[in-house]
Amino acid sequence: MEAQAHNQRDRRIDGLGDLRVLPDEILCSILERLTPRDAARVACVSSVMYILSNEEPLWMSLCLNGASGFLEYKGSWKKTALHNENLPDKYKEGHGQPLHFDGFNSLFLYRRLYRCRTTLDTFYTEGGNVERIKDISLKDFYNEYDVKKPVQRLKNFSSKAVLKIFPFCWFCFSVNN
Amino acid sequence: MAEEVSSQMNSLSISETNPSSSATISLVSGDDIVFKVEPTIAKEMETVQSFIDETDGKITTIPLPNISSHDLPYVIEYCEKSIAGKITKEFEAEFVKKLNNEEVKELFLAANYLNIKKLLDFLSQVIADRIANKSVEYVRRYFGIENDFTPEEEAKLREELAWTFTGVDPDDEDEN
Repeated sequence: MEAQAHNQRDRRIDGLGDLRVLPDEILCSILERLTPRDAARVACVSSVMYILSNEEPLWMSLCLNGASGFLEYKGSWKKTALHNENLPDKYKEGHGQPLHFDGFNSLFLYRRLYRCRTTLDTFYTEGGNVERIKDISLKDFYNEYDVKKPVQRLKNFSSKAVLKIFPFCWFCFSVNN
Repeated sequence: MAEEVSSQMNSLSISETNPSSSATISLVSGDDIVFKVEPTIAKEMETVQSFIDETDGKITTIPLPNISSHDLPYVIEYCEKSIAGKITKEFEAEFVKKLNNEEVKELFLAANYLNIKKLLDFLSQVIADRIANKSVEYVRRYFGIENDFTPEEEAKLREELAWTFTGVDPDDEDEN
């Protein structure tokens, strides 16, 4: 499904078992339906499950699913969730270094991360190098722009309007002067 | 179970004689059993529908090598309810009661292969429910996942996540 890195062994086969044929989007949607405690424990299942169950968007969803009223952000969504679980202090911040695994590629996770974290420093909207397109489908956006370059679509820009066209995507909105 | 399948097939072939269904679609399971369904059912299955569209409707027999004749009736049943607008919480609860863990997993893979969004969505929740409060070993066994951590990595994780291990359900080998 996703491109493989050179000679590295692909972690998907062992690390996902029977679930390896599923798109990452669907794997993520299962994890989002777990409780924070179950989602955290899934990290011990395999390296790939560790990667998927440590994604910030997952923890943001889990926080918002369980939110009732005031939510105090603790520097990351995972920490925010852990603080909400009424744990002993030693579990709240996580220990030391996170684990790293190579041999796992996910275009889905990368695109989501890119959309949320990319810098727009080298792009200029006013008479610059950002294309303005009137109607763009989700498919065209994926194929032509996602992770490649920004695109300006809307005259009357609002987060609501963008979410209406791209309801299943993660975005980080920024408004330039 | 064989009886159940054949009775399902009978009820499905009866619909073939219905004059309103001039062009039924034949779905052929991996073990070569033919299921006749209404075109509206096929529409629910994106993979099948795009196959029909690509051949301009000329081909109405569609091989589904990844789906067994055991699972296909469940998929068809769900799609029938779905187009009838009769997917209720009660129906879903009854539907899922009939399925063991292995069947839930097989149906989930089938729903993914056929690209049936509603069924995928529903089964994502069922799978989440079935691994809720279960041990790490249970989840590995359920999905056929290899433990690919080094002993050091796993020990570190289990220590960090010790709070998630208290009170998980004891493993039951006869789960299926």
